[in-house]
Order: sequence, then C-alpha cells, then structure tokens
Amino acid sequence: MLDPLEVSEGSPDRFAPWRIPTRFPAWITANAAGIQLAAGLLPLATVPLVLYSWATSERVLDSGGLESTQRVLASKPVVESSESGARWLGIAYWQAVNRVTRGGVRARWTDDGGRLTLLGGPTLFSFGTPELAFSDDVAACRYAIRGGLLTLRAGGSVTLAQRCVDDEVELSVIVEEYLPRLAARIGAPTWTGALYAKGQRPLHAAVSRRFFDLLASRVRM
Amino acid sequence: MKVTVFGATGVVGRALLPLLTSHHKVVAVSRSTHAPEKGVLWVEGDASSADDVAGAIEGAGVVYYLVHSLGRRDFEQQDRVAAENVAAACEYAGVKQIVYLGGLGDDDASASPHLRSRRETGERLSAGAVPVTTLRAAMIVGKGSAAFETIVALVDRLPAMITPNWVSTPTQPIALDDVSRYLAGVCGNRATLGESFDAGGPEVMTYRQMIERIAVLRDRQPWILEVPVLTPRLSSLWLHLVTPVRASVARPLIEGLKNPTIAREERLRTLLPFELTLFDDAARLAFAR
Repeated sequence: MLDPLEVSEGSPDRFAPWRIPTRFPAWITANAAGIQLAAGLLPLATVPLVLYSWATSERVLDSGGLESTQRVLASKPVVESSESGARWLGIAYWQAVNRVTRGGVRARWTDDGGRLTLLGGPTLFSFGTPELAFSDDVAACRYAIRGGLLTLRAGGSVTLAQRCVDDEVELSVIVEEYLPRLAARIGAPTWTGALYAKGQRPLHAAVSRRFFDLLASRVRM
Repeated sequence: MKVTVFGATGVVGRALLPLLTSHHKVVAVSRSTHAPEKGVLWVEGDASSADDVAGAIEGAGVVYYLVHSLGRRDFEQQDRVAAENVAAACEYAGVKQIVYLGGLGDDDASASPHLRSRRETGERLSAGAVPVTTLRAAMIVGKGSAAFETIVALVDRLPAMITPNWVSTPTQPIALDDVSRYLAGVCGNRATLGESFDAGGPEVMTYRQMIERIAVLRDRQPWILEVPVLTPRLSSLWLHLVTPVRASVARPLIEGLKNPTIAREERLRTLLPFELTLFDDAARLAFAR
C-alpha cells in the first residue's frame, strides 16, 4: 500500500509565465480567451484553437493504486473521432515524453506494445499494445502498464482521450491503478517518496501539458 | 480537362499517368526528352524555369506537383524555388487546382530537413491564389520508391544488421497503386480544394517490423541489433556502401525516419473509398514488376 498522496488541483495560473512553452501560442492566449469563452463573450466558431481550464489531480485508490488525471478544455476537437485519431493520441503522448525529457526518454514500439527507455538503455515503463476506442464524441487510446523500473508491479493503465460534451472538448491523460516504485510506502518517512513527489509527479504533469500543446499545435481540422 | 503533371518520370508520376489519361488530356513534364506515349503529351521542362512551366501549364485546369530534388546538396532551396515558380505560373494561367504529394509527419516541429522541405514546398504552393489539394503519405511501397528499395536491398544483402533507434519508429506505408488512385481521385474534385489529407496505408508498423516482413517475403532471416549510437551520417554512408541508394538520398530519408509518420485522420478514405492494399501484397507486387 502506498501512502495517501496529496490531492492537488491546478489552473493555468498555477504555471508561472516562464514555464509557458512559447513555441506553442495556444497556451499564451489560453487564460484570456478561456475566460472569454467561459463567459460566453467569445463565439466558439471565431476562436482558433485555444486550450483553457487546465486541471491536475492525484489520489490513491482503495486498491492502493494511484490515479492521476490531467485535463484541459479545448475550443474545438484536436483529433478526428476515428481509429487514426485515437492512434494519434498515443503517438503524440510518446512524442511529448521525448520532448519534455529532451530525448532522454524515448518510446520504442515493439510487436507486443512499447517501452519507454532511458538513454536507449533501461526500460522505465513497458506497455501493452494500444487499445483504441472511438465513437462520434470520443477518441481514446489506452496502454496497459506491463512493468518497468518505475513500476512496483505490472498493472494499471494510461488513457489518452478526447471527449466532446455539448460545446466543450475535454482532453485528458488518466493514469489508473499505477503503483509507482518511487512513492513512499505506508509507515515509511515522507522523504522516502521525495523522488516521486519532486521528480516523477511534476514531470508527468509537464508531459501531459506538453501533450496537450502538441495536439493543439498540430491541428489541421 | 487538360492536366499537367510535374515530376511525371518519378515513381508516383509514372503510376499516376495511366489513371489520368482515360479521363483527361495529360501533359507530362520531364527534364529530359521522353519517348512518345499513347494518351500523354511529353514536354521537356524544368519546374524551376518560368518559361518551361508557363508553356507546360497553358490551358491546364489541374496541375500535379510531384517534384522533389532529393539527392542534391541544396535540395531545400531547389524545392522552394520550383514550388514558388509553379505557384506563380498557375495563378497567372488561371489553373483551378494544384495537387501536391507531401510527407506525413512534415508538420512536426522537430521534422528532418527532408520533411521540413516537403512542408515548405506545400506552403509555397499554397501561398498563391490557386487552391492546393495536399495529400500526405509515408513510405510508398512500390518498385523504384527510394525508401522501399533501400529496405529491400538491406534485407537482400545483409545477413546481420546493426541498426539505429529509428527502426522502432512507427510508420504507415501505402501502396504505390493506392496513393496513385488517391491522387487521381482528387483531380478536379471540389470537396478537396484547399484541403490537406493524410493518405495512410491500412497497417501501422515499425521499420523493424517492415524489415522482418520483407525478409519473410524474400525468404531471409536477418539478425537485427538496435544500437542508440548510430548517427544519420554513419547510417547513410553505410547504406551508400551496401545498397544502390546514394548517401545524398539516404541521409535525408534516414533523418526523417526518427519522426513517426502516421495518419491522423481518415477523411480521404471516406471521400474516396476503396480497399487499400495490405503491405505484404503491395511488396509482392513491387517485387513482381
């Protein structure tokens, strides 16, 4: 069992301006346009793609596994609701990992899924084959976590999804039932989980954020 | 309708011409003199020459732009100049549509010079008033396709391969016949004007899986070892040594292999529905030709 982790909620304001990846203008305008969109001051059709209402949260489930969620709203869909669109969510996520780690962590696709390797060597995570789902309103790509150095044991999944609900488009990264090796165990001093709390957790949030940026920056629809 | 094809002697151009001649009056542009062919008017010309282009597109309703300068040291500059030239001439001549074949993955911020050049070419063509229909494809599986022939040569000639990381990058190759059908299908199609489409094949695979599947078809069993240290320069020199592909062509191709080349949408499949050729079938067809 893991120690209950602090639940954290965020908004775009949580990120200091120097952290904004300036190569993607979607985030630069996110706050202003997002507020106007939410207030109904800006007609949706007139807005180029804007991401707003970023939120991140994390909690320990009854099973002892971790659930980590990052969400953002988009002013229009970023992928097609099709097999290709769902697959692209998965590809873009691994690209985001690569970008955030400046090539240090790379995805390698294999016959039975994929692996995230550190500098081409040790496997940090191994995943099953992508499970793609799509309907009129949803495109999703789910990878089962099979193992790797950063997992205590196999289990859990990463789901990358786009959901269209009414006028809103929600993009999300949801990690479920994941057992991180670096987190503090119950009864252990808090500092034993410092590598997770100060390293892996913010890195994961940064990857999610870059993932949303990447999707937004390459919209051709 | 009169249709002009630039890059008509290339792999895709040659496959496209027969599909166009049944419905259109086709002018094929080639840098060298070409033997007469039924249903096709061959004209000698260079896409970077304003006079050549103006003569070739006179009265044309649709212009296909299948030109690339891969293999030249300054291929990016050459492609840019030729695209600007054709775009300006098409606007002046009142052409109704330009059809361009670009590369999947070309809009990636970290795209290789080759893929970047493909994107820039599309942008230059679109800068004019003539609506451009862009099709984006990954590796084309067909006889004469540089990337495909490179992999076949590697499989045929090497019992063991030490490969860089790019072999585990996913791609979505498309059969030469299928991409030609798509190209022919968008000709004069109003729904495609000013639009960009991903032309992906029916299967997604890594380059390693592609090598292994070609090996099965060629009845070979190469031993593959992936290493993280091979640079594109080393890889291209190695390809130059063991395959018929020149290093100047191989290097930009290899640099592009680090980017996933996957279709992100399927609108073209909906617009022009037909059964796509499976990779193994397309490869067998290429070997037979």
